[in-house]
Amino acid sequence: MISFHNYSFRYASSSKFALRGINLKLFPREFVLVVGDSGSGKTTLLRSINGLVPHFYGGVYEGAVRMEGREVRKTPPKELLSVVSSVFQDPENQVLMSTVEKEIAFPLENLGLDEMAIERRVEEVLDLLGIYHLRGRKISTLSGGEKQKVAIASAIATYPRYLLLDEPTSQIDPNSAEELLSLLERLNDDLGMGIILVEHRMERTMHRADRLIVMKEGRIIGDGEPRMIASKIDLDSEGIGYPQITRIARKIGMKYLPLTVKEGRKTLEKILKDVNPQEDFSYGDILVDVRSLHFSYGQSRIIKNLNLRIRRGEILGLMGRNGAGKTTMAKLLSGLLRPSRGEVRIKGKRIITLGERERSKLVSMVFQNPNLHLFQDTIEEDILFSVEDGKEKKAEKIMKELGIWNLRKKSGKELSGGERMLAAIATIAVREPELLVLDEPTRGLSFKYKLLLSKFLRNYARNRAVMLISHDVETVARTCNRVAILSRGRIIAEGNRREIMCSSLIYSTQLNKVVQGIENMKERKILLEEDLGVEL
Amino acid sequence: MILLPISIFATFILLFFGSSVQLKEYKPSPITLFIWLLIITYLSLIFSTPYFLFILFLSTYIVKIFIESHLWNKFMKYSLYLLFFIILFNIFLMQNGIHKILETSWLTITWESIAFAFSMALRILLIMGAFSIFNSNVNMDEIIEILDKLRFPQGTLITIALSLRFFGIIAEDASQSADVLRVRGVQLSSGKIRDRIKARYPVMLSLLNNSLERGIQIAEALETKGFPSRKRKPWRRISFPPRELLLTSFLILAAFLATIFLIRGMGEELVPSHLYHYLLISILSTAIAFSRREEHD
Repeated sequence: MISFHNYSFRYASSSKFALRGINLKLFPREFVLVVGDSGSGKTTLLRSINGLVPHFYGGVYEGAVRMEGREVRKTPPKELLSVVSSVFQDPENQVLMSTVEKEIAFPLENLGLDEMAIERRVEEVLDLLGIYHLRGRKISTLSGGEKQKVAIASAIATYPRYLLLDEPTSQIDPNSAEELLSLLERLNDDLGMGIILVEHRMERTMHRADRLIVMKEGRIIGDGEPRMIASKIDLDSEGIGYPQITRIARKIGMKYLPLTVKEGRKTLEKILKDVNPQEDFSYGDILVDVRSLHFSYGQSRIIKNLNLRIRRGEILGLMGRNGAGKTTMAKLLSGLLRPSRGEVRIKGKRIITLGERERSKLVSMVFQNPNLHLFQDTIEEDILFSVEDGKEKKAEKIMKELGIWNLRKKSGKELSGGERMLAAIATIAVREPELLVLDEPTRGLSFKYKLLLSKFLRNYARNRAVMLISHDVETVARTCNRVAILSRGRIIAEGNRREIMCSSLIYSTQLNKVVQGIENMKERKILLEEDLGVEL
Repeated sequence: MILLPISIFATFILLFFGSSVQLKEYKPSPITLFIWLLIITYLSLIFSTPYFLFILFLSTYIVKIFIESHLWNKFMKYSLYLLFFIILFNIFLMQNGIHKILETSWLTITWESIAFAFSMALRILLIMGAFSIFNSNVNMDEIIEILDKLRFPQGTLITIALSLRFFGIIAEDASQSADVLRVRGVQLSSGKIRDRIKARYPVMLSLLNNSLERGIQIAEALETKGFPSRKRKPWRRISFPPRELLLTSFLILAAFLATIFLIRGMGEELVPSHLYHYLLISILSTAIAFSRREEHD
């Protein structure tokens, strides 16, 4: 058992306690989901279990955390290795070796196991996770989802009793995320491994958990069975959010809250039958014209004969699995890559022929890694970097719209992952490019910030255009008016968001999946809570 | 004298028509490949006669035929650009030698200058070829294991492993940081060189910030994976069976004999004496023995 007794912790670099008065017991074999708004202390809670706090991150430590009778404060992380293992958010920075089998063996080598024992565990873990085919592969050749599975394999190779995971699905596509979470469920069911998972995406995780812990400003404000907690605490107003169907059921006053698509079908069927929303967006002139675009990296063809038009007033959602060519597409549109064939024109100008300054007025891009955008002492300076004079008012408006005005005097390093992303968006939006391209901007964003982002982008696109690349189907459905699906360098579906998302098995919202499974209702293009009159 | 043009001709035949020849793919032991690489590099540096260097190149090429090397063509392509300049530079600037081919008031071309230029070119080809084979077949973890076998300290080895693993990622970060500046309208590819260098300063800042964060995450991962540990026992995956030990002993013997011959002053003539044939045959047959070894796991 892991137990917290009147536990508080403050980082040495901060004046505020990250965790305050925590009293908590976590039992083996539980699947625990920890949720909370950005900066609520979720990650610090995990660090307090695996010993990174206080052994790696020093600070003020009060109370006690005990694991299987040992006090974490007096036990360095390496001695906890056979009891608890951790998987972090970014697979790139936690997979340390250059091949899969060496990565899995690394913690076992540190435990001092003999070669036969290591060999056996590596074999078993590869089989258990169904990744035997990756055994000899180099890490650099793996996709994000595969890397995250290897990280889990390395973590469970020590046969820990608890597995801690900090937003492990935030950087992978919906399919890979679903596979990964099913895997965790299997580890919990079959091996009795305790899972302690921090996640923002409630629709994927809430139904899998035995227990939901809700955190706010370093305290636990809810702890119990997920359905019970969902009815007691308004997770939307706490900035955490609900799965779509749970939200709808809660807002219309249902006592039994559905958590899964299957449950949603049973409980919401009657309400859904009266709804058939239609919409028709109107757009302005053609802003972006992509013709017969081809692009290759060496021998591999990434973009193949792609044609696309984006009109003024349009927010185009670009979806597809990892490696489909979405980021390459964004770079081609931004003029950062030169097409092998074909052309990109924005407002009639061939983008590749323009200089950086002129180009950045027509198109600009927010990268996946917000840290690359933030390098000055404060985010206010970052936002005003390389911007024409007189944009201070504009910068203030954007910061307010994105909810980061109060953070303007802080440096990027002091912000949470979600806040950094919003600051990065502000650094580009302040330039007011005609086409704003965002590459996976919802990574690490809590529900509250996702709503802010959607609202901001809809305002931004009124007289310009936006291309939003995302795996987050709810945000795409809520924000975009058109959607395109990219697969192996080709657009395989493109059109109105309802046409595309309501006919997709993967790139669709939870609510639409409920609808798709009800007889004679497939043609009803229900996507969002608003379609049922439920306002957020 | 006839050996020089034959060697040149044969080298270019191998370069231009030999790239696709592949008989069978083997995965050699990284230790054997490592020793082979050291010896080929050593021999290419101590010999300067084109004939010997060509034979060494031929032996490397034979190894390439039997051991898959996906980097061979790429390395050779880049080498060709280099060769062009090396050959021209040496032929026109090195005017020593007694066997004159062409003599004008401002230029003298001798057989010796051609031989020297060709030797330099062959050296580059040899080293690039050997490294392409080595890099195609040995990954970073195996290099670390080889160093581990040589009793390098564990802490140093993990540091090397991490540096090698993250080198490419940091290079990608640098490129993306520059792209972020470009999309923000910073002119990195136009204007005066001084201004361009100044404009790149934020790339360094961004890279530093990002690397710091990455460093912290890597350190966190190391800590939670139990590193450093006094109990640590490396899991060695590379094998070195007796047959390979014999093979590498043979390679080392060839290198040793080559050194002896050279010390006795028998490696500088353009035309080889019969003693050298032993050396060449030994290296060639090593290469062939190498290529006929059984496949590992």
